[in-house]
Amino acid sequence: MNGMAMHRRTAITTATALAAALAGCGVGGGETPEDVSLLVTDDLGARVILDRPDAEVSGEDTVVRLLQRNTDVDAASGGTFVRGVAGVEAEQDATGRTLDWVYFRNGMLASRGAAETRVEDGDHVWWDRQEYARARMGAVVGAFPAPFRVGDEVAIDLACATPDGDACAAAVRRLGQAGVPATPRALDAPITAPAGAPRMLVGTWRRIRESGAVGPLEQGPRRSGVFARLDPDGRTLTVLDRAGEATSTLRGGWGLVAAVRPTPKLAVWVVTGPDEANVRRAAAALRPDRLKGRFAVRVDGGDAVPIPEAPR
Amino acid sequence: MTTTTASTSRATDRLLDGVARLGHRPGGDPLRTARPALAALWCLAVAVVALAAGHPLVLATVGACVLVAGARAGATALHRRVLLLAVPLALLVVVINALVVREGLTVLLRLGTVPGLGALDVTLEAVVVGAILALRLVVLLLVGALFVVAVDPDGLLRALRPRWPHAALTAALALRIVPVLARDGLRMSEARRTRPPGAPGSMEDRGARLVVLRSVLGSTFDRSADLATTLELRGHGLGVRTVRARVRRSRHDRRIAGAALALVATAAAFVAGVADVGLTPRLDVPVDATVIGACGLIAAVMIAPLLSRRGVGVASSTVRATPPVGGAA
Repeated sequence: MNGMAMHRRTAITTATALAAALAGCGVGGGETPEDVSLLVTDDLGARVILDRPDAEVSGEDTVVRLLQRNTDVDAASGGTFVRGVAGVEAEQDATGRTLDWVYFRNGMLASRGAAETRVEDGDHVWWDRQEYARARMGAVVGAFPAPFRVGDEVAIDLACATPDGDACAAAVRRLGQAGVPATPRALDAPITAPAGAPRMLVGTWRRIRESGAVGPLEQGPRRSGVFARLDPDGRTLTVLDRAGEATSTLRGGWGLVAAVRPTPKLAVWVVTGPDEANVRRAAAALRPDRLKGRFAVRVDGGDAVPIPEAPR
Repeated sequence: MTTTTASTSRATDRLLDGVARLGHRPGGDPLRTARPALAALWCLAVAVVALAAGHPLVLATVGACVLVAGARAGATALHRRVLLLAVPLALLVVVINALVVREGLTVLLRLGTVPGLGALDVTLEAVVVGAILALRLVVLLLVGALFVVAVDPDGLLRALRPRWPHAALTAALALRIVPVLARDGLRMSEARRTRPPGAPGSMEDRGARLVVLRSVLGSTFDRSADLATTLELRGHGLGVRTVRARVRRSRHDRRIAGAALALVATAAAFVAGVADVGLTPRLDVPVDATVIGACGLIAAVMIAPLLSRRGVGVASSTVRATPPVGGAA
């Protein structure tokens, strides 16, 4: 009897495991996602190699297969590791920098391999060849309106230092134009957005730095992933080049739109400046055409200047 | 003894029996008539072509020609055994490749997401890559079997000894020793049948079966090397100048050697990109004049020297120490 019971238990366990495994199975490529865009750049966005707003995709493609459908790819390890895209190979350049290919999905640095991640509706996939060790990059602004809107899914936690101020209103307007309806809350008000919703902080740096999650922006790219450094006084912005060297130091008259990732699944954007007027100008830069392909931008008057900057 | 144990035991004995029958048998066909070194070179050249070629039609042509050469050289039975062993192995290669290789754009099956491995998709391109690898493996096994039957190990030893005495002796002994060890394994298997059921070493003892197989097949080179060292210590080949018997050249030597060189040149052409195929991310397996021409050339180069019936019947490795009386052959 014991033997029969054991056999029955084994059969049930096997059948359950098989059913669980087969649940994700299917014949053929599967359903094709819509509105998938693909961007390929080199050296932190300095050069655009490929820009496909309507990328070719078929079935439940993985990220690497999406890339292979749209351009030449040199992949190793059975197609799981990308070594080269469109003839641009991972390498060590003349200055000794090691450049590797990494990808961002909907504005967040990927945490899983490209062969493990399937493309979904509305995904923005961005491959960049960069010196990965130089910055602890987690989130970027160049996929806007992602991560706040991906396909038909919208989620945002908008917190403003002055919810009824012009800067916050400008942010709400720009977000609305991008298909992201948002109701702002005060910085210290309880979060009403769904758990894990990407966050946007709008306000002067002196006000929003107290939020805590964005503190690394004062410590440089190795901590924040942003090639700029904010001073605690809230008035000074130091802009860096790709090597992490300072190119300009601005005291007043600047705006900044940047993103950090304080936890693996949370992106936090900052729309900031030394005063409300500059914060409003930074909020006005929240447009897909202004932010496309940018890792962060500083706003100078009406212009959105990409960060990192070119070396002096 | 249970049915499963009995059938597995019979399979083991069949394997050992097949290995025991391995070995060169003198014959009158061109490949066995030519000098052993040249016959070995021919087999090696065929293997190089199989390694260099990536087109399935070319590999299939090489395989078919090897089978034809094997039929001429009396290796048909061995080729049949090899194919029986090789087919399941080839299927395994295809399956593993299909699961491991993530390249390819034509998805046949989606096997879900496996933790640690990610998305497990089977693509047509990965299956084809695996099939080509499997076909190459089968061809190489067939060439190996032909080598064992067609190349006289003693003749090869005589050809290699002047330059690499120890390696030549070891290699020749390895070829000789495998059938001997297999016959030992069969005798051990017979002995195990006399033990009572349930006793250690009896037919039910699966561990003992594995030990027999491992000891027979796994230590070939070690035993060959030991034997070679022992023979050399006893004076075999140690600084003694042997009388180099003059081996008569035959027309088959030239043809076999010429075919080997032509095959190596063909392999070089494949490496340079002739009859190349694209496998990933998209399949591109052309069947054009170049590919068909390459197949035709390989078939002609491989088979033509083996078809000749002139001058066969006298093995060129036969050595006359003294000239015949009256000059009669």
